[in-house]
Amino acid sequence: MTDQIPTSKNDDGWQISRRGFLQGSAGTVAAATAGPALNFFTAASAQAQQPAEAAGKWMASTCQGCTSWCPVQVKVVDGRAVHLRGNPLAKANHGKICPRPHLALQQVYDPDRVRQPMKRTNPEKGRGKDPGFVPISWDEAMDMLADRIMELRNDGEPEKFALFRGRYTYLRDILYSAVPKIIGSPNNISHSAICAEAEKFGPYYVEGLWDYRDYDLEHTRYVLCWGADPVSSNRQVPHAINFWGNMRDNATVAVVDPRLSATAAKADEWLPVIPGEDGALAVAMAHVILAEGAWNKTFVGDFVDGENRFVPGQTVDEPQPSVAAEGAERTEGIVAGDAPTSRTSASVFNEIHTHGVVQWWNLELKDRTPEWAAERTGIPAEQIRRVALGFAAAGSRAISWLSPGASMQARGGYSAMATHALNGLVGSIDAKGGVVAKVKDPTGSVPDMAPYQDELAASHSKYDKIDQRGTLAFPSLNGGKSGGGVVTNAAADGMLAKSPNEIKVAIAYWSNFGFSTSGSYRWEQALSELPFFVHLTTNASEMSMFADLVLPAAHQLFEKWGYIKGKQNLHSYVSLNQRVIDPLWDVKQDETEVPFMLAEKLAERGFDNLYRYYTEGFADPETGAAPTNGEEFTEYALKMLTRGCWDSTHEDYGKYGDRLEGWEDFKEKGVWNSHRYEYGKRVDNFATQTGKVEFYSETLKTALRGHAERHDTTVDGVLEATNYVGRGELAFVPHFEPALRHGDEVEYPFVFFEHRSRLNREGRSANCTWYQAHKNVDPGDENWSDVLKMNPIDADALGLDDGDMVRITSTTGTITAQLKRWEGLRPGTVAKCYGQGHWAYGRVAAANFAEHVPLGGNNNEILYPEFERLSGSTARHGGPSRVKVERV
Amino acid sequence: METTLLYQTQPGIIWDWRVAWDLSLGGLGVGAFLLAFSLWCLADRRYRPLAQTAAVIAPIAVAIGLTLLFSKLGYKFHVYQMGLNLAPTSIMWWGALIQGAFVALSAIFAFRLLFPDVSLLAWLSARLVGWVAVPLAVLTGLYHGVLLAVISSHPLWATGQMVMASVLLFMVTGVAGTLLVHMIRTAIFGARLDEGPFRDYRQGLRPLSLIMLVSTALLLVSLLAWWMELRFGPASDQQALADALTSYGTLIALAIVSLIVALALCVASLLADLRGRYFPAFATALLCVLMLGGGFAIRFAAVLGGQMGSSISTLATLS
Amino acid sequence: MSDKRYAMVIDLHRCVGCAACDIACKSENNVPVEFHWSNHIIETSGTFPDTRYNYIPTLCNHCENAPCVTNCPTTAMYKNADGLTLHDTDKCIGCRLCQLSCPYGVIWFNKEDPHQNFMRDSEPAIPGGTSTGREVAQATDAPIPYYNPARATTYQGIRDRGMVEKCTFCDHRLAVGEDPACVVACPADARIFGDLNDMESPPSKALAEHAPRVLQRDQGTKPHVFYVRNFNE
Ligand SMILES: Nc1nc2c(c(=O)[nH]1)N[C@H]1C(S)=C(S)[C@@H](COP(=O)(O)OP(=O)(O)OC[C@H]3O[C@@H](n4cnc5c(=O)[nH]c(N)nc54)[C@H](O)[C@@H]3O)O[C@H]1N2
Ligand SMILES: Nc1nc2c(c(=O)[nH]1)N[C@H]1C(S)=C(S)[C@@H](COP(=O)(O)OP(=O)(O)OC[C@H]3O[C@@H](n4cnc5c(=O)[nH]c(N)nc54)[C@H](O)[C@@H]3O)O[C@H]1N2
Ligand code: SF4
Ligand code: SF4
Ligand code: SF4
Ligand code: SF4
Ligand code: SF4
Ligand SMILES: [Mo]
Repeated sequence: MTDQIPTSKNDDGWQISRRGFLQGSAGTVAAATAGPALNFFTAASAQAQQPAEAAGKWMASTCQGCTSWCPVQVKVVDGRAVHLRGNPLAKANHGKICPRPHLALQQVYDPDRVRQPMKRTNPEKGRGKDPGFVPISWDEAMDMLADRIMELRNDGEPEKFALFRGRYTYLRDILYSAVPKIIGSPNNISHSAICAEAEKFGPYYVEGLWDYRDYDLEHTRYVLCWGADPVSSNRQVPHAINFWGNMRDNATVAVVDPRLSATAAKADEWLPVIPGEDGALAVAMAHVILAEGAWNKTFVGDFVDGENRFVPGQTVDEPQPSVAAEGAERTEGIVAGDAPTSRTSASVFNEIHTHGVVQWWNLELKDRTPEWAAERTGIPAEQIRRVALGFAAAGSRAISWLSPGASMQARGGYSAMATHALNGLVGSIDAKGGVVAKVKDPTGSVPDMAPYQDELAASHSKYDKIDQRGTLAFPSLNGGKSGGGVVTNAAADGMLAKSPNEIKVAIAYWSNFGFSTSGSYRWEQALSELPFFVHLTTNASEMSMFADLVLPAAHQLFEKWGYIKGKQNLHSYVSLNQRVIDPLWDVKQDETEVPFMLAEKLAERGFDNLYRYYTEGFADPETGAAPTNGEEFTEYALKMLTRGCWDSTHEDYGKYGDRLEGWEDFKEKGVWNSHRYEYGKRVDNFATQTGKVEFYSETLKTALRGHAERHDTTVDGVLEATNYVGRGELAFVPHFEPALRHGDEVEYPFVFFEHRSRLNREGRSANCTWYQAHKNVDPGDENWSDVLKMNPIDADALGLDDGDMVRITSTTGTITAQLKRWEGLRPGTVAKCYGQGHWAYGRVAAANFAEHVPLGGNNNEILYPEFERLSGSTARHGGPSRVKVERV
Repeated sequence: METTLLYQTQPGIIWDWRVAWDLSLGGLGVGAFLLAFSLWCLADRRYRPLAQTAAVIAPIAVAIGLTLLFSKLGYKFHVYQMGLNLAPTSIMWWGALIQGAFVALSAIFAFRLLFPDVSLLAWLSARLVGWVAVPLAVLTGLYHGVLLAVISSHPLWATGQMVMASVLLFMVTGVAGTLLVHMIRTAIFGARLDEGPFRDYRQGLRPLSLIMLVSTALLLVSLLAWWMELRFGPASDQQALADALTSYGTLIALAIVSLIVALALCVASLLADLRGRYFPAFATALLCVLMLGGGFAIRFAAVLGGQMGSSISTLATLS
Repeated sequence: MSDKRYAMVIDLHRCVGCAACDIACKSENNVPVEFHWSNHIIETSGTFPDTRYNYIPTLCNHCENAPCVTNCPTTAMYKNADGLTLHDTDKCIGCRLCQLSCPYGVIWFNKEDPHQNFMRDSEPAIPGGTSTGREVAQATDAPIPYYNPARATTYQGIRDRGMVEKCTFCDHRLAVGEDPACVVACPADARIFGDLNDMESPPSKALAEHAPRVLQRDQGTKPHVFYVRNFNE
């Protein structure tokens, strides 16, 4: 590609030729003065005025600007992407897109994209050090990488290889699983735990769902958002935006968020909770709902005699449930069919589709009055009561919408459970107008890798992982299993401590942990010490600056093949990422082409297992042909894994939704839609230990006990190691935990909290000028700036004015930003949007790219690297860091 | 309670100092022309040179002003479009037409005055040209005010006083400018024989002092009326006034002081004349300078300051 | 064919203040990054915790009584038969009087050559490894890489230095039977566009159903962008 690009033109020629091109109508003077440079554009110019030619062609792909993953269409004219819109065939986002896909145009055509593989020439690594990158060929780059991997294998230490993954398509396993496993490393580390694992923790230990939920906005009567800002972020943005207006005609909206978010601005109630105190608020609402007898009696059940014994301050006189009192050995029995209803509340309460409401009251809720919560949360008792009762009055048509804001907190695991349990109390889980889940789709999974693992790989890939998962302090209980999840941000600590082993060679793709992790300096340090690091990326971003090799990746929306699975609007869907334009530069597809090249290189060096896995395991499902190059491999793999969507001979074809007519039809349409979600199918069949919605989580009890046993300790020991203060039986019910903060209150008077931008494409927007030029659509923010929002009362006390540059210091670092006086947050707190503060990434995002000077500041430099350890998550929310603010 | 309002319109001044100069020089030119014409028609022969000076100033001042304005146009090559397209709703279009014609006629007038014996196009006599140009001059003077006054989104501009002040300004500055140039001329080249000593010469110009006196006084009154209208007008007017004063308050104050001092000097000179006392030439020069300076400052502050507080849509203006 | 009376009704109750309209407009119309044909007013008022946030999307109102048109000395700014306020770059002299005349601040003036970030950018971040704005544009054979040629069917594709520019109600899209780009891009369906001469058109119905409001009614401009309901009620 690169050799087709015209070499430099002088300034004038450029200007003039542009003129010639631009004139839409006759009578231009410029044409007369145009030199030879004019021909460069004349051909296009002539066409540009013909509507038919200019109309272009709409081609389907998928936007992954955030985890809504919307099916979109790209308008392609003359091989260029020029405009975007939603894919009208998609039932999830029904042809709508949020503002962010438009920014993707500026990503794919970003001049600061890596256009060619580069290698480092300066062996010294560190922020502020020029890597001295020089362009090299893909061949040379892959040779270098393959040599390093062979070295590890030849030395019998393949576990010293690591693969870091950020965002992905579902072709991910080709790179993320296969490469480490077949080489022989356990260390494939995803970004999930810096994303939202603590959020999933809540619904998992309440209803057995380790996933995001879908919401029935069309039929709901009450929406209670916990840090969720659905018109800006979260996971169904265009759909939520589209339904919000009509929904508000039928439903009440309450938003719990320490700042006046965009959604809070369009809500009936704003509850500006003190950061990190969501748990207190949630249990107080549960208290109100029970004490006022407002729970859903057909879902939860009722006292046998109909008399409400949930009297504030009093326990319900009730025999302890056998299972709660006894050991884990009884658990088996429960699953086997002990009727939990009779077991827990035979005497007083007849529980129906839930488990343990009385224990929850007795253990936690009875004293959690609104008055008690008002003091902790800063929310008036009256409002707590009003919202709780309003929510409950909506019955099962109520949504308690949990987001990372109220869960990715140091002690957010139980807040996540508490907020989600509110759905249980009103019976909205799996209900019309309530909180639902995904519909099955017919996609497949990659072939088994075990046959391609040699002995070295088979044994070493079972070693402990670098991210500390499963250690006492990091239970990471995904799926109820000790160490079942990832602890992304602890991988840096593991690397620095060389524990459980050193990492010598690492690849990171579509991730930028040098920017996106709390306490990001630890990653800077770990990457500086890493002997050989490869960054597979679109932009020369923070992580790239520590890389020995920077490999240019194809952009996911326009240049790459892949597929995603998602859900919005009660439909699941499979959507294709398609290469709708030819890349301008020498870029490769991260999840398929690059590993295929690597496999070839390894095979050349006598290790052909990966190559055999790719060529034997992936064949064109239509012709049976084996791939001979990266592009064929990409297509065959994609066809294989999505076959159920389009191949009428597939066993699942048409079973769950659309019946697409062949591969070409799928590419043309771009999306497969599931049937609409059917309510109520999961009730009593939840993937919890009891099959019920658990207020007293037998599922968590088993998980915690499992982890405790693994480390020869008690559940209390686990709670202590994971920073929780609750003890005893409290461990098994959603309960209040006080916010955890770092920094002395006197020295660091402000609680710092943060939020995302409605223009953030995760950490990847800041180099787009359209992002900077519209940044003020985040309430309180300013264009082309990164502002620290502070209540005017505090600003007055410090004598600070709008536009003053301020230094924000926490115990972990200092950043600078502009001050913004704003009434949208409470005194004593300060907030800043996440996404600015790049010291690399490009010349728009960084104030000075060459000198590594950021525009604004990265929140992660002042966020203490705290964890929600039960899920392994990074606790970016809840105000983990106190800060001081000084004028620069 | 703090209200933050964000609405990003194009930053910066849209019509800059060049427009202020255009309006000032245009006013000066118009005033000079009217002076030239009246001197030529009415005055003693010894005031012919003064009339010539005024007549020369007129087209030159207006032309310089127009050039400055032209230099401000974003797409200069298209000015001919004003000729090709009839835009009768546009004051500026009329202004361009009138002002263009005025420059041409006033140039011919000056030519006739300077070279009365040249027979080229003799039928275009000074009298004929002059009489045609007089209404054009008045219209041009009015135009300078009306141009801004029709822009109703700018409260400082959209006032009758804008037009009033504009007319008065050309009276004031035209005379002051001509006198000043004349004095400079005589200072450098000496007085012409028939002009006699300045002291006597001045005596004959008493009506001019009177015109200056009255115009300046009226100008000050109309400025006061302008201020009052805005100050006690609707909120948007008050805001616009406040914004203009914030940026240009000092300049406006200076201008008013200059005009008041000039007014005092004017009175002094008239009194001196009445009592037959000597009024020093430098004082006359100072008077002219103050009037010109004050007049320009007013224009400048009005043009630029008027753009400070253009009305902006807010939630409150949604109705 | 009878003339139309195009209008837009913005339902503030549906609008979420996301600026998808603003950005899509830039993309559709090749608008320089500094300009906002589609724009917004934001007001935060009140005292914590009774804070209120308001967002009003704005664009050219295509005023029936448009001072930008009245005052333009060359008729470069003109009303077309369908009620659009349009701009003819062939006639424009760049006097900016229209800009001064418009009470809404929706006209923008190209002081410099537009799209400098592509046209003038010639220093790469990493020589050999990354490119420049100019290289990207050249590689795509277009003045800006995502240049939309459809814009050039009825207007200058990119307006010259010295020209004003503003929202045209996407006349080039109307010409081929499409809704304006911002209308399509609005995820909330808050922008209701159509012909007021047709009583059955969506904007006619919306105006009949809700009390319509306009910005700065006292200016007497008779805007054709109407607002109904409230952003936060
Ligand atoms: N303080 C704070 N930190 C946060 C968050 C927050 O809200 N606040 N959000 C967190 C969340 S929820 C998440 S999910 C993570 C995300 O964090 P990461 O997974 O680290 O992802 P990004 O920060 O988006 O960085 C993506 C990187 O991939 C590159 N890239 C962009 N497009 C492509 C592509 O198409 N292919 C390839 N191969 N590379 C590409 C970019 O150059 C960039 O270096 O950040 C987390 N970090
Ligand atoms: N616009 C946009 N949307 C996105 C993304 C994006 O980058 N941009 N990324 C996607 C990804 S990867 C993810 S993980 C999701 C997550 O997206 P969200 O669900 O929106 O989660 P966050 O943005 O992490 O946090 C949401 C809110 O938490 C609030 N908050 C901060 N501290 C607290 C607290 O202590 N209590 C409460 N109640 N609220 C608090 C913040 O003010 C913010 O409004 O969004 C996805 N959607
Ligand atoms: S950024 Fe997110 S919400 Fe917006 S279109 Fe893309 S995937 Fe959908
Ligand atoms: S909004 Fe402004 S630019 Fe648009 S028609 Fe009205 S006056 Fe003219
Ligand atoms: S700038 Fe152009 S469109 Fe505007 S008033 Fe002047 S000539 Fe007319
Ligand atoms: S109608 Fe077209 S030109 Fe006007 S704001 Fe909308 S997208 Fe922009
Ligand atoms: S796109 Fe629609 S919802 Fe978003 S700001 Fe514009 S009008 Fe409002
Ligand atoms: Mo995330």
